[in-house]
Amino acid sequence: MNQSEKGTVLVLGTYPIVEPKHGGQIRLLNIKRAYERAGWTVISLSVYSEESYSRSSVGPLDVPFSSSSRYRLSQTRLGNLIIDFLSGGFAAAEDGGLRQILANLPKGLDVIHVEQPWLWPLIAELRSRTEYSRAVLVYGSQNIEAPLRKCILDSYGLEDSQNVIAAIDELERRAAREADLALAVTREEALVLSQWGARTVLRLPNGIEPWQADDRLVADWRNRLPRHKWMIFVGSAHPPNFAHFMDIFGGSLACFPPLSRLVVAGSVSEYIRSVVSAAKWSSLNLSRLQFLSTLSDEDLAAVKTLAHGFVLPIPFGGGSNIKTAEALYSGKYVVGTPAAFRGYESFSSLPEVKVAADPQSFHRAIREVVSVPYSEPLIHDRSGALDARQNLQWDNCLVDLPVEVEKIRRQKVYSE
Amino acid sequence: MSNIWFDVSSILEAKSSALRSIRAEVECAEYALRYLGKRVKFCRFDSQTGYLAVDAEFVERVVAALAAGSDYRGYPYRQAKVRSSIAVKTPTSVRLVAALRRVLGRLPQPIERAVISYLTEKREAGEAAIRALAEFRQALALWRRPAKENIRRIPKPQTQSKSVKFLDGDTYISLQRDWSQRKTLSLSKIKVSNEIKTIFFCHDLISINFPHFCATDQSGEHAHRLADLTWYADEFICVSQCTRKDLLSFFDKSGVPPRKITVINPGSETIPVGAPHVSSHIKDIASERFILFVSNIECRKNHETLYRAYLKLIERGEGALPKLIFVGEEGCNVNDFLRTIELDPRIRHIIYILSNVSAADLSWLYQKAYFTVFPSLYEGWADELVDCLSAGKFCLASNAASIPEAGGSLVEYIDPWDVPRWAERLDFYFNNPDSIKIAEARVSDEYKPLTWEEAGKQIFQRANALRVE
Repeated sequence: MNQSEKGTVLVLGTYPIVEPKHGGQIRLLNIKRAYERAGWTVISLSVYSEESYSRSSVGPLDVPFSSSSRYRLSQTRLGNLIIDFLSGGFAAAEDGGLRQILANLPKGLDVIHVEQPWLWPLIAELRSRTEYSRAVLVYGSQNIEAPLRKCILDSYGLEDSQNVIAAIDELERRAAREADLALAVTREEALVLSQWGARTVLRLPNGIEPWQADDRLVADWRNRLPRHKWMIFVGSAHPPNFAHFMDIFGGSLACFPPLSRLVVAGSVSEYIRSVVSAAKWSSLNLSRLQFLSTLSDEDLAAVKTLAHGFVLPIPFGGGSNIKTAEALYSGKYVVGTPAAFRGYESFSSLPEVKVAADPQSFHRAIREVVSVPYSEPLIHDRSGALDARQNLQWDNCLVDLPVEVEKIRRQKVYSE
Repeated sequence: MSNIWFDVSSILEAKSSALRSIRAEVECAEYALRYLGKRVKFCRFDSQTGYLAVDAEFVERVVAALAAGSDYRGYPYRQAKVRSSIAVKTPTSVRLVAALRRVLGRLPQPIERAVISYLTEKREAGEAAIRALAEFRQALALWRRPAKENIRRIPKPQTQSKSVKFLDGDTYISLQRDWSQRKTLSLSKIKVSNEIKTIFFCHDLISINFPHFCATDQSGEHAHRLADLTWYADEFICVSQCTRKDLLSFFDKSGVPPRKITVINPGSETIPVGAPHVSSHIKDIASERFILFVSNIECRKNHETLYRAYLKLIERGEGALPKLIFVGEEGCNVNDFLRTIELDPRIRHIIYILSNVSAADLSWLYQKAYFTVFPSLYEGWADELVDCLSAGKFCLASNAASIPEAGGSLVEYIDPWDVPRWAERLDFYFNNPDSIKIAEARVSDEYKPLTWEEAGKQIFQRANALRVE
C-alpha cells in the first residue's frame, strides 16, 4: 500500500496540542506524530476549556467549550474541577459543539483516536453516523480516572461528588468495552482495561523528547542557580503535584543543606509556594526552595542540564508520569515516591534512582544524593541502562501504535 | 598542632543580670584558663568581620568581673532591693475600668448603655493601648535611671582583634544558646574550606516543641536555626537525656543528618548558709512555716497546680496551712493567674510572691523553708530543683521531662496535672515533719552534685576526642 494512502486518523482530546505544556498535551502530540511517521493523514481536533488556553495555542479545528455554556456547572466548585468530564456532553449535543465539530471533519474517517474517556459521548454520536460507522475506534486511557478524580475532589473537601465519580467510572468502562483498541500507559492500567472487557489492549508508556541545552543559556542559568548541589522538581498545576507536597517531605525540607536548594519549575511553582508558606516551619522550608515558574523549552533544557538530580514528589496516580521519564532519561539522580515510578519499575534498581515511600526515606535519599560528588550523566554509559533510557524516547514508546491500528483495520476490512 | 577554639561571645556580650543563661560558658572558660592553658584558644563572633581571636588574659578579666558582681554563682548579678511582696498591684486596666464606670454611672441610662456598648467592642484595642503605655513608661524610667553603683563594669573587648585562622584538625566549641543566621553562614564557609570539627550546645527544644509555653511563637524560626546549625555540627552536648531525646526526634522529623549527642549535666554549687544582711521584710514574711518554690512565674512552671492544691486543702477544712512563697520574676502568659491569686480571698494571705530577691535573702529562705516544691510542666534541665537539693532541702516535684533525671531518688515525683495527688502529698508532709527530716538527711548524705569543674572537664574531653577521631 502506498504510504500516503494509509488513511485518515482523527485524533481527539480535551486540550489543544499547538503549544503543548502539560503531559496530556505532550502525549497527544506525539501520538499524532507517530501516526504521521507511519504515513497516516492526521486531523487533530480538541474540545477545550475556553478560559484555559490563549488564542495562539489553539488549532484551526479546535472547538471552545465556553465558560457560559449551559453544559458547565461553573457556579459550583465541583463544576470547575470536572470541566473535562462535562465537555463530553457539550461535544455530543446539537446545541453544544456537535455542529461545529461535524463542520470541521472530512466525510469519512478510517480511525478515530480519542485520548481519555471524556469525549466518548462524541465518539458514540459520530459512530451513529453512516460516514463514520466503520472507523476503527482507539481509546487512549492515560489513567484510571475515577479513583484519581475522587482523590482530587476529596482533597478539596468535596464529598458530595459520588454521582460524578460513578459517572466517570461508567464512562471509562464503556470506552474500554466499545473501542476496537484500548491503550494503557502502565501494566496495572492494562490489566484493569482487560478486566473491563476491552477487546485488545496495548501498553504504550509515556516517553520523552531528548533535550539539548544551548551553551549560552546554560552559562546564564549557572549564575542564577545555586552554586552548591541542587535538585529540581518540574511540574504543572495539576493538584496531585502540590496538594500533598509537604506530606511527602514530612513537613520539612531540612534534608537539603542550607546552601542547597530544591528548584521548582513549571506552573506548579506558585502552588508549592502557597502550600509551603501556609504550613509549619515555613521559614525553614522556603529557605530551601527556589521558584522558577513556567520556563520556555530552551530555558528548561538548560536548567535540567545543570541540576544535580530530580525530585518526583508524586503522591498517587494511576498512570505514569512524563516527568519521571524525563528524569530517568537524564541519567542524573532521581528521588521519588513509589507512585512516581509507576510504569518505570524496571528503572528502580539503577544506582542513581532512589524510591522513597515515607518522609524519613525521602530525607535520607535527598541527603545521600546532595552529598555525592558531581558525575556525568550515565546516559553516556555503554551499558544496559543506556539502552533502557533510549527506549524512553517517544518514537520508541509509540512505535507499535500505528502497526496495531493497521492490523485491526485490515481485520475489520476482511471481516466485512 | 591543632587547636581547640572556645567561643566566648556570650560572656563578652553579658551586661548584668541573667547570668544563669551564660553560666556554662563562664564556667568552662574558667576551667580552660585554670587547667588547660594554651591548649585552648578563645574567640568571639563579630557580625561585620567574622571570628576574632580573644586573649586569654582578657577572658580572665571578664570572667572575674562577672563573678565579682554576684554574691555567689548563678544568682542575679545585680543586687537589687526586695520588692513589695504582699499583693500584686491591681492592673492599670482594671483601675481604669473602675474609674470609667464611676464616671459613666453619672450619665443618663440610655447614654450610659450606648457608651458601654461601644466601649465593649473596643475593649481589646483599649487594653492593648494601656499595655503599650505601661511599657513606654517603664522604658522612659529605665532610660533616665543612672547606672547602679554596685553593677561592675565589664571590660570592653579589644578593638584591634585578629581574625581567627582555623586550621585543619581544629575543634570549635560554642555553648551559646542563640545563633544568628550570619554566624551560621560564617561557620558554613569555614567548614567548607577547613576540616574543622564543631561542638554545639543544646539546653532544650521548648521553643520548638512547646511554643505555647513561650511569650511569642518562634518555633518556626528556631527550628530553622537549629536545622541550619545541625548541618555544620559534628556533635551536640545536651544537658539531659530528655533534651537528647527531643533533639533526636528533631533530627528524625526535620530530615537533617543525625549527629552524635553527648549528655553532660550542668554543674551546680552548694548554696552557702548563714548569709549576712537578710532583709527584715523577708524575715517578716517568712516568720511562720512556709514552703518555697523558686522559679520564674510563667505558665510552664505551673504555679497554678500548687494554687489549686491549696484550694483543695482549704475546702477540706485543713487549718493552718504553711505559707506558699513563690520567688521569681514575672514571665509570660500568667496575667490572669496572678490576678486570680491577688483577688481570691481564700489564699490572699497564704500565697506570697517575691521578686528581685537578693542572693542573701534567697539563701535564708532556702534555709528556713519547711520544704520546697517544683511542679514544672517541662524542663531541659531543672536548675532550680538542683538548687533545692544543693541547699539540702527535700523537694516535691513534677515527674515531667528531665526533672527526675535531675532529682534522682532524692525527690518525690507527682504528675504535674494531678492536683488531688499534689493536695494529698502536701497535706501528708504538712502533718509529718519527721518524714521531712528523714528526706533531708538522705539529701545531705547522698546528694553529690556534679561540679562545674567536672562538667567543664567533660566538655573539653569531648573536644579532644573529636580532634583525634
